[in-house]
Amino acid sequence: MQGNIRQIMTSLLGLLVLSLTLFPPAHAGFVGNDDGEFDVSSTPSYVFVQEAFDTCCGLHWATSPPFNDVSLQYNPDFDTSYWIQNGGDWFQTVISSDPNGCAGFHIQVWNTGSGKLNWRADYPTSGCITVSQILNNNAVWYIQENVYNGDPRYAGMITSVYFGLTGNGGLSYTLYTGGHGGWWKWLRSNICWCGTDGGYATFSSAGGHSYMGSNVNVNAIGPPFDIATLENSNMRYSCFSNSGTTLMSQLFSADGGHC
Amino acid sequence: MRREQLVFVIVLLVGSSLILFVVPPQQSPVRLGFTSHRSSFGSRGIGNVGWFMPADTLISTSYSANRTLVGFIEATLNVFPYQITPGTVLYLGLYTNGRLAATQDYNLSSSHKTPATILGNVENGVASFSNSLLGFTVSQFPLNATLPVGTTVTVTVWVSNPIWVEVDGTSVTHSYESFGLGSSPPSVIVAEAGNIGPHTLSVGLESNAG
Repeated sequence: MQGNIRQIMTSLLGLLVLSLTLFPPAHAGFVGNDDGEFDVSSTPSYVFVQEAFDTCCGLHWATSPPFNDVSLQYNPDFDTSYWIQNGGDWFQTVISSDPNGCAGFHIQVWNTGSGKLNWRADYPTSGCITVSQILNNNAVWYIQENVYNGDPRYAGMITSVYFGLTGNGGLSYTLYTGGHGGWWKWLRSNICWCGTDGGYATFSSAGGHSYMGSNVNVNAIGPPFDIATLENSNMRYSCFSNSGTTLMSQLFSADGGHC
Repeated sequence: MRREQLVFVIVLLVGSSLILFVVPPQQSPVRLGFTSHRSSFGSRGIGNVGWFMPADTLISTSYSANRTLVGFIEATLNVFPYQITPGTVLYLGLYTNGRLAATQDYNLSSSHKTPATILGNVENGVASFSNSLLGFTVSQFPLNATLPVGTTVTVTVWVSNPIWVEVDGTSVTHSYESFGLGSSPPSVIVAEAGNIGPHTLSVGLESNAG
């Protein structure tokens, strides 16, 4: 009997090792579509990402097929969305730009099960708007997801998203998503300096500081197990600084080291 | 711990780990990500001209869909965050072929991260603003049936205090004013009923581009 148990235990442990071998983490982390992940310590009122370009670099790319546009994506964790989000949806917010600084603000909601686009809203609804010098040194790109934290029935739901671009000129837009206190929850997230439409952006000169902030503490957590977004790039990210505070940061760079 | 309990715990651990690693798989089975391909009609939302929309007036704006409507219909009304009276309530209605499909109401805040400023003078209730807008949406989703090209989509707006709404000077469509209907969108509406309003509201519409 004891021998049988030992055999079963050995087999099961073998299975465990095998499962870990067959299903390793999907990526190395802190490059392209994976800057690590961040979460908040309690229900926030808002959680923002702010990308400030350094004087060295601005944001420039050599190629980004298919349309030569790039995107700043504020993406929720795929698996958390799959299990916890309303209907298994994936609530993505994006700022996109072409090489001339013609930009757009976007919310897209995809279903993690079916891959269907369940909802989207864009500003402008078609095309883009040119904002002076948003690819230059010292420009700032900003996305803030505002979260309801009142009535417990709706606490944690995203009510609106504020988009901001600051270069020589500025453009800001707040998109209210509707619903009774919001349709979708804020979930642990990451950012991506990426291409668009499934593409890979090769940044030639790019770098700056990336900030993740909230009215509650923001915590760095390990890279996600599953990367949801198809887009990718060569952008590299440092480890997070000041995790566990209301303003966490990391560096991004096209040619620097990564965490 | 008894042997049976030990085996049970181990089986549970291994089973849990398999579930964790296998469902969903590490390579997402679906294609998520940012697509710039859109299916939109109505106003683009570009422009800095605002109109001081009166209170207690139902304003409707209709567009004919230039593509098949699939999955959802999303409509956005653009408002300038400029001197909004605290407690202002905004009611939006979304109609397909005259039938009410969705409603949405908002309690507007008077505090905004980037308030708009007026550039120049106000003339006849119209002014130019800085680049800051609020987009309020009303949506029908999921859309249970595909709607054909030519479907008339109407958006109604009612507000309890005057607000500065973005207008579309390039649109060939008019907005229509109706009075005395109250704040709640009626269940049925006739497109282009009422008086032609002085300006066409900037109303953007989107659906799934497929």
